[in-house]
Amino acid sequence: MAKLSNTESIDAVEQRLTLPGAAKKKRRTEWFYLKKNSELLLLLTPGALLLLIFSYLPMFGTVLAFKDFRYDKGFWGSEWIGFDNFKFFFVSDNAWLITRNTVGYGLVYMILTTVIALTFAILMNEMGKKWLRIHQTAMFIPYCLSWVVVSYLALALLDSSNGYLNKILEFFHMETHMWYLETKPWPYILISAYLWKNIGFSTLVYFAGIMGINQEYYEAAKIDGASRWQMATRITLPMLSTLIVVLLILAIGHIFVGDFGLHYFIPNNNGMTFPTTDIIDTYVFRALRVYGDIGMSTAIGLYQSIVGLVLVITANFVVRKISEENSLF
Amino acid sequence: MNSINAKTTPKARRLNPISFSKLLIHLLFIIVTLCMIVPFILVVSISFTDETSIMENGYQFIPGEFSMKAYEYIFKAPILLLRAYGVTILTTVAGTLLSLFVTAMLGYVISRRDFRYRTPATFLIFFTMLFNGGLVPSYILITQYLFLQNTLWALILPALISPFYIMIMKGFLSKMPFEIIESAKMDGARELKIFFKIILPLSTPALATLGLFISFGFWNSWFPSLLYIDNEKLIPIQLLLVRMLQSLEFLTSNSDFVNQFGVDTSELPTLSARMAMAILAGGPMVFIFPFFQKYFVKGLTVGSLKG
Amino acid sequence: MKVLKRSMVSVLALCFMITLVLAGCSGKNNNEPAASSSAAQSSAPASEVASESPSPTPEEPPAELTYYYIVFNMPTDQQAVEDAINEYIKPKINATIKLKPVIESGYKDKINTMLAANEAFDLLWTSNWGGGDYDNKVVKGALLPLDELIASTPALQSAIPQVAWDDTKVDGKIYAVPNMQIAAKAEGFAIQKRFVDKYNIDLDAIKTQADIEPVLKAIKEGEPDIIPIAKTANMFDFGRHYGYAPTGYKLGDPEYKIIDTIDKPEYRTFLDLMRKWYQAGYIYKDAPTIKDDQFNNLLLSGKVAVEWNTTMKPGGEVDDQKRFGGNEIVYKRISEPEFTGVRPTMTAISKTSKNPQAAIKFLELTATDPTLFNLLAFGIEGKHYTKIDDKTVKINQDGGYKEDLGWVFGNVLIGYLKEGQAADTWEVTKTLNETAKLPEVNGFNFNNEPYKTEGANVFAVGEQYGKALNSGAVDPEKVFPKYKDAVKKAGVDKQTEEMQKQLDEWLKAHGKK
Repeated sequence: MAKLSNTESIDAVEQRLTLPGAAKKKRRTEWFYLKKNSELLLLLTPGALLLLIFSYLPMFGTVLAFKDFRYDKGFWGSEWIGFDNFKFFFVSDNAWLITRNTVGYGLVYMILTTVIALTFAILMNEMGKKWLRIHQTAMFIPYCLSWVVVSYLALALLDSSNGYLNKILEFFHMETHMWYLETKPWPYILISAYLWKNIGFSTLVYFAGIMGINQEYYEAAKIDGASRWQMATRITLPMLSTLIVVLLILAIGHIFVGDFGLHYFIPNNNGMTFPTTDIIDTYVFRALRVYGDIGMSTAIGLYQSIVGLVLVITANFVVRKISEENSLF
Repeated sequence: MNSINAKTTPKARRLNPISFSKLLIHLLFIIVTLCMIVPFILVVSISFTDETSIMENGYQFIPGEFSMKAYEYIFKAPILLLRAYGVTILTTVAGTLLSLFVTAMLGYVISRRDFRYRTPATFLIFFTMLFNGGLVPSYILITQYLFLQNTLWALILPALISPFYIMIMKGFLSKMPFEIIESAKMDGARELKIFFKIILPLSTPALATLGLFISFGFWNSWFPSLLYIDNEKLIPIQLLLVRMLQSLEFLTSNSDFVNQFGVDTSELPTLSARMAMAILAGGPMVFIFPFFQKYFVKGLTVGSLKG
Repeated sequence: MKVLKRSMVSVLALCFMITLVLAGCSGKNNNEPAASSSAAQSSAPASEVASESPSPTPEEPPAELTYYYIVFNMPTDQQAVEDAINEYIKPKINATIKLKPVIESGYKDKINTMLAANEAFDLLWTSNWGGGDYDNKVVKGALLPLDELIASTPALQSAIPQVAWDDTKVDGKIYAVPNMQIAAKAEGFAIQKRFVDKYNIDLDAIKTQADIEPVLKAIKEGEPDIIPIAKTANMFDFGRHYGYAPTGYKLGDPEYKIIDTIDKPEYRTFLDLMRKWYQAGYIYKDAPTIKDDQFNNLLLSGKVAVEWNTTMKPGGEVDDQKRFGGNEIVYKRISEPEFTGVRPTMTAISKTSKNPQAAIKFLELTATDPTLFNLLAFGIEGKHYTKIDDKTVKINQDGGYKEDLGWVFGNVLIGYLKEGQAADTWEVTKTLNETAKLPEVNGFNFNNEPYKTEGANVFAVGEQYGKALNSGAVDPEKVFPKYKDAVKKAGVDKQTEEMQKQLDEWLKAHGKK
């Protein structure tokens, strides 16, 4: 019924506009596609509903970034104050330094994780099942420990009087360090800690990606006499390319956010390490601890999201230019 | 890796299984594994060390003085602990299954090249990874409109969708040979059937990996329960442990303050209890790992499906 | 294929079953409050009949109050205590209370989220430290001004001294009821007695912070294994001992000119002294990096000779002995007991409260009624504690209410003593509170809202340099200029200017300037 009246009205409009065929065809095409994709849309529905309710509905909270939030006036009653909530961050002398740190660490983490995890995953594929299980389980263990617990392990290593590292240096009659009061060693410490804890995750994802590749490709390659190296570079990597690009783009989106737990707990919030450890999240946490201002923290969150979005769209655009099928959207 | 000669036939390799490169690979992974495990052994060992011994000798791999005090402290109320484990297991299993299901559906649809709304749908899902409205609007939604407070749904429903995992799922599925779908369609199969009977079974390694990470997220979450659960019977294990740690920390670090009330803080395990809690909180995940591992150590072949 | 199909079916069945179980759980929960409220309704008339005469307005249904407060350990027998309290207070104030303890680490987030979501509740614990967040809650309009309500409850008003009320004021209005406890502190050194005896230390010669130096020197030279002095990063409250008020002006200055720490001429002297001590090995090497629980362990090992102590309460030597690993210690106070305020623990009424009248009456009872206070603090007699004499109790460690939270709830001075506390503890505390020296500007507190842009950055810079400098671990010659530069750039002058403005206004209003 409804469908019928719909077509009728379209026809009526067309007649009035004297646009023979064109509009009609377009309109029908869209409807046609909706119908054609209806089953896939049905598959999309439960997730889309959850997304709408739990992610999109609460987004009105973003207005707080531009408001002087007061509990008694609430979301809508609080005064608009433009960009005042952003000010404290941008007037800060540290804004440049912590932005540089955030992006720098983000890039290094991203590149090293991708390269090492891919190498590990491909090598693991060469291994017997028994060994594989042991190594995989071991690599998963650090992922289970919280940064707070890891910070105690780091202290066991770096403590100036009882730490293992200083004891080893002493043993070799080398100069010991007050690690928590210096800036230079921290990039190495943080990068090692990051890789130690997270490399298992990425390795596992890439490994699962390899496992998902149709084994027939490899069998065919074997028959053709391909070497392991050739199989890795000609089959495995190309088959993983989409997955790699997805993970890279996701990491780019997070570059501006940084790993709070790592950068806060591992240097133990020691001021002297800040020039090389402080990132946006730790700085904002520290600066706003006294104030607990929802508006100011929302503002910085929004700033990080927007920069993240710009970075992702740029990255996606570049990927699109190179190979369209690998782009995220 | 390079050293495996291109000319080596499969037969020759089988005859000489421990080639130099294999040995190198094994050596590399043994070192990596040691790096991963040794600190964990330290955690286990500290959890069994007497507190005064830690103080005097520092952290030791072999407990200077063996002690179960930390575990005794935690297991003082075993019924609470068991119930909390029960709540966590229930939310983790339910949350993981539901989340995996939704993640697979979304990831699959947006990975389909012939899906007309693929780009906008992907973007709309991805957008939520970067932008969120913050804690307060979610709290208002969940408590004042959905009335989920004091139910386990408050811990499950908001965490079901993770754009991050959906994108990884899309990455996994995008190299799925399209011919399979095409041929199934030729046979008259509908999309739902294709998804359930072909796509899901074919993506077992991906599902197992994501399932592992999703379950990990549910297992470790405690903040939502702090916000939404007032009923002591629905408290998950992580919140219970966080609370215990809090009370220990408070008692030992504010001793000026606490002494006023005559609480003796000198007997309390702190560092050992912290490590014991890390083991109790994360340990079960390490044991669950092999269960998931089973599904991604062996690859699937499309051919095997037809059998 | 068949196998897969079957496993798929079983997974779906499992999903379905879990959904059912969850639904069952949540269903039960939904029913629970309903059931309990209906029970409350049915029991309400009965108790009203029983208590008809004392009830002020027997025809009104009792007000239901909700009370959020901080705990460090969740009591397991909460419900029994709550029931007993309700039985006791309903006839008195025609209200019942729902107790909602929240763990410390999540308290601030949970309460601030609830307030921002405009959720209705009545009472909340607040403070100037940790999750209490008093100042911010006041300036952002989360709390109800209480002056009028307090005027209607004279017993509450007189139970708490005026200096305490003054301390809670923001812009001249009271926003919280203090939970009375010790509010006066002296500072000084706690020294292990064995070293005092061994090195014939003349305690009377120690009159300032700097006077401890010879003692540290003697210990360092005579005891290679002993750490002369240990304290966490911000060891000394610098200002007070160089003649500055907590507000930042020099005591005795008729202009009350606020000077930021970095600009105080004595600060550099102080840093140089700390550096000297650190380099001489008097200060614990890891002082700038040590965590609180590690510090406690260090003390327990008995390897620390001297500690800077900021409580110095009467009779505290006995308690502190345990912290020094059982070694006997002596106190040497170097400042008079000073009134330090009641802001560390207070109870406020939320702006979202539907029953502020009933809430203030409840607070009146916590400050004046020992029965209610003891119920809140110690639980039920015979179950959660046993009486040793009519003033002292022994907490039952397995009773399910051993958390000893008197300081969170109200006036500890009207409550029981705990086993081991001297019989006159509360009298001594009361006298100390009353006789303590008052700050010149008692009742004045800064409102940090107008300078929050600068304040946030100044605080962040202070965290970066302050700890390391104050502990002597870095060279002030190199780091101090950097610190000064960073603080200036963060806008400290603007902050000081605004603070001065607020102080001047207050001084004018109180006829001091």
